[in-house]
Amino acid sequence: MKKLTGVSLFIFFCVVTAILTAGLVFYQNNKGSNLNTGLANQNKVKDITNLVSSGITTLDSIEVSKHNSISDCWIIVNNKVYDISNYASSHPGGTRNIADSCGKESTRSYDTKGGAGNSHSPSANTLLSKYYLGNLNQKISQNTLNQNVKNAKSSSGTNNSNTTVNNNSSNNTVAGITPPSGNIVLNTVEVSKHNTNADCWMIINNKIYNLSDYASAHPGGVQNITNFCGKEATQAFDTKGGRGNTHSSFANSLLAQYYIGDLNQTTSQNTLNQTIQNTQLNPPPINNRGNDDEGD
Amino acid sequence: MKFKNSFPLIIILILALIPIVRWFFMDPLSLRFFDLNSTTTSFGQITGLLGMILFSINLILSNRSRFFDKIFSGLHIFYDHHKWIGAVSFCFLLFHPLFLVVKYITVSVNSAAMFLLPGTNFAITMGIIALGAMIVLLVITLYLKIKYHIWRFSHKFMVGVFVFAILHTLLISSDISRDMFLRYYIFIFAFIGLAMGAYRSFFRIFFNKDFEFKVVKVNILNNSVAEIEIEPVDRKIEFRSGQFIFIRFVGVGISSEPHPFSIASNTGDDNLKIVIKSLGDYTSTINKVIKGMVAKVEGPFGSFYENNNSVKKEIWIAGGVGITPFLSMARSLGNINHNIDLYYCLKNPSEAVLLKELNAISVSNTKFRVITWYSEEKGFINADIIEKGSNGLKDGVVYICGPLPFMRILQSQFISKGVDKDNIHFEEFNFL
Repeated sequence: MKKLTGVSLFIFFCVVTAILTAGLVFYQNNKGSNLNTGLANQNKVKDITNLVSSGITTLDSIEVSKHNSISDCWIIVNNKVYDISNYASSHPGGTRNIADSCGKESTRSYDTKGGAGNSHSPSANTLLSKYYLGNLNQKISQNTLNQNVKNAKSSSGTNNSNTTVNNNSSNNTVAGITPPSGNIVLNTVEVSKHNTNADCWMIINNKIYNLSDYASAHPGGVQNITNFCGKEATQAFDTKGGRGNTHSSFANSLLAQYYIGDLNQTTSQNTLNQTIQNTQLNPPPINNRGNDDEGD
Repeated sequence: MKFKNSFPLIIILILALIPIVRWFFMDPLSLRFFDLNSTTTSFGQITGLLGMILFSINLILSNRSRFFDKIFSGLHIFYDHHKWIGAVSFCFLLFHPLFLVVKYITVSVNSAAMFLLPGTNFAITMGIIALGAMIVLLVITLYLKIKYHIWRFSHKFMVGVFVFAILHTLLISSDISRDMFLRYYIFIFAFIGLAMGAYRSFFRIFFNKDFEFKVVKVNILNNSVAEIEIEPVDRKIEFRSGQFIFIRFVGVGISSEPHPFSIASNTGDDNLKIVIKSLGDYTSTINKVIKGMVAKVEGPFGSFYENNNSVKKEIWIAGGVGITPFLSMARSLGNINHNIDLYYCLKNPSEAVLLKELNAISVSNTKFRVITWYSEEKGFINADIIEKGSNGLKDGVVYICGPLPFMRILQSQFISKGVDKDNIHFEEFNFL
C-alpha cells in the first residue's frame, strides 16, 4: 500500500513541479518571444535608425506617458512599447481595461488580465505584436517612429490566417510590409489548418466560422468547442454534441457573427483578412469568463 | 493482505462503481474519448468521482462498532479495509488534477500552471486546499514515525480535509455536476461520511456511548505488570472470554486516547479485569492508574475464542502478556469434556503472572493443564514440542496470543504439520 501511494505521490510532485516551473519561471523568461515581433523587426528598426539621423526620440516611460488617452494610447509590456489606440474598442475585456493602462507600464496587468487571474492567449500576444513601436528606452528616429505608429494605427486586430498560432508562433509580418494577397480556397484542408483553440475554424452547414478565442466563453464548456476546431461540426452543433438539443436562436445569431465564408468558396487573402477582422471586432459575451467553466 | 470475508468489500466496490456506471451512460462515449484532451478530461472526472465516493465510504469505515466487527469478521480486517480504501482514494485524488491539467497544457504551460494554483475559481481553490492538506496528513500517516497519540490527533483533521472536498464537489461546475442522480448520490454519501467522521473524531465523547467504569483495585503482579479491576458505574458489559475492550482512563498523567486490552476476568463477573504490561509510551503510564479513577470502556470486540464442546482438543499458547485472554478463558471454564492444554511461554519464571491462580484452576479441572515453558532454560517453544506434549495435534484447535513474530512462526509450523488454517486462531488486537 505504501508503494502504491508512494509512486502516486512521486508522479504527482514531478508533474506539478514541472508544470509550475515551466509555466511560471520559464514563461517569465520567454515572454519576450511570445510577444515576438521577431528579432527581424528589431534589426530592421536599428538599420533604419542608422540610416536616418534626424530627430531621435527615446522611447522611455516619460515619452510613453504622453500618450495616455484612449485615442492616443501607448503601453509598455515587457519592455516593449505598443500603440494600441486603434485596438481599444475591440478589446474583449472592455475598453475601460485598456484606458486604465494608457501611457503606463502594463506588463503585470497584461499578464494577469488586470488581476483577474490568467494571462492573455497566444493569439492575443500575436495581436499585440502588430502594435509594436519599439523597445523601451530605445532611441528611434522620428521617421521610423512615425512609420511604426502609422502601421500600428492601420493594424486593426487581424491575425494573419496563414500563421499557425501557438506558443511558438512568430509573426511573419514585419512593420511596413503589407501581407501578400492571392486567392485562397476555403476547403476542408484549409479549415483543418485552423484547429487550435486560439485559431479555430469550424464548418457548420457548409459555412465556415472563425471561433478563435471563443472556446472559453462557450456556455457548454471549452472542450466542446476545441474538440471541433478545424473540423466539420454540423452534427455536433445541431445536437449539442449528441445531447439532443439544438442551439438556441441566440446562439445561432451569435454564430452568424463569426461567419467568414462558404465551404469551398474561393476568396482573396485580403478579403478574407478583412472578414476575419470583422469577426475579431465581435468579441464573445464575457459574462461568464473566469467563474464556473473550469470544471470540465 | 487477505480478506477472510469479501462480502463487505464487494458492497463497497458496488457502491463506488454506481456513479461510474452512471457517468458512462450520461454521454456518448465517442464524445468522452475523442482525442487527448477529452480522454484525459474524462479520466479526470472518473478519478474525481471515485476519489470522492471512496473517501466518503472511508469516513463511514472510520467508525468502529460491534456491527462492523461482526460483518468484517474482526476489527483488524475492518481497519485493513479502512487503510486500503484510504490509500486507493488518495491515489485517485492525486491523479484527478493531473488528468484535468492536460487540456490546459495543450493551450499553454502557463495556463496549466494557473489551473493548478489557487485563483479566482473558488471551487478549484477549495479542491487545491483539500488535496494539499490530504497530502500532508497522509504523508504523516504513511511515512513519518511519530508518537501514536500525536498521529491520532493529526488524523482527525481528515474530516476537515473532507469539508473542503465537499465544497469543491458542491461548487464545481462541469457536466457531471449538472447530473441530478450523480449530485444526489455523491452528496448523500458525502454527508453521511462527514457526519460519521465528525462523530468519531470529535463528538463521540459527548454522546456518552461508552460504558463508565471506576477503578477499584490495582494489583501489582511484578515490576512491570499490573492487573486492574474496574467496576461498572451504571451499565455492565456482556462479553465472551477472549474478547477485548477499548479503555480510556480519565486522569492526570494518562493520555486520554483509547487503547485495546483483552478482558482477563471471568465472564460471570460484573467487574472487569485487564492486565497491562509496561511496554510503550502509553502502557508505561499504568503506574498512574489509581483506585477511584474513571475508565470509559468501548466494546466488547473480537471473536478469538469460540467455546465449542464438539471440539476434541484445545491447545492454548500464550506468549508473555498474551496470557491475558487465556486468563478469562480459564477463569470462565465450566465443565469441559475435552482436553485443554495451556502452554504459558515466558523468558523466565519471574515474568509469570497469576500462575498460582492458573494452577489452581488446573487442579480443580483435570482436563485443563498448564504447562510453563521458559525460553531461557529450554529455548524457544515450537510445534514439535507442543505436539509431543499434547499427544499429537490431530483434531486439535489452536489458540495463540503473544508477540506477532511468536504467533506467525508458530502458525507456519502448525500448518506445515498439517493443522488446518481454520483451526488456528489468533488474538487479533496485536494487528490493530
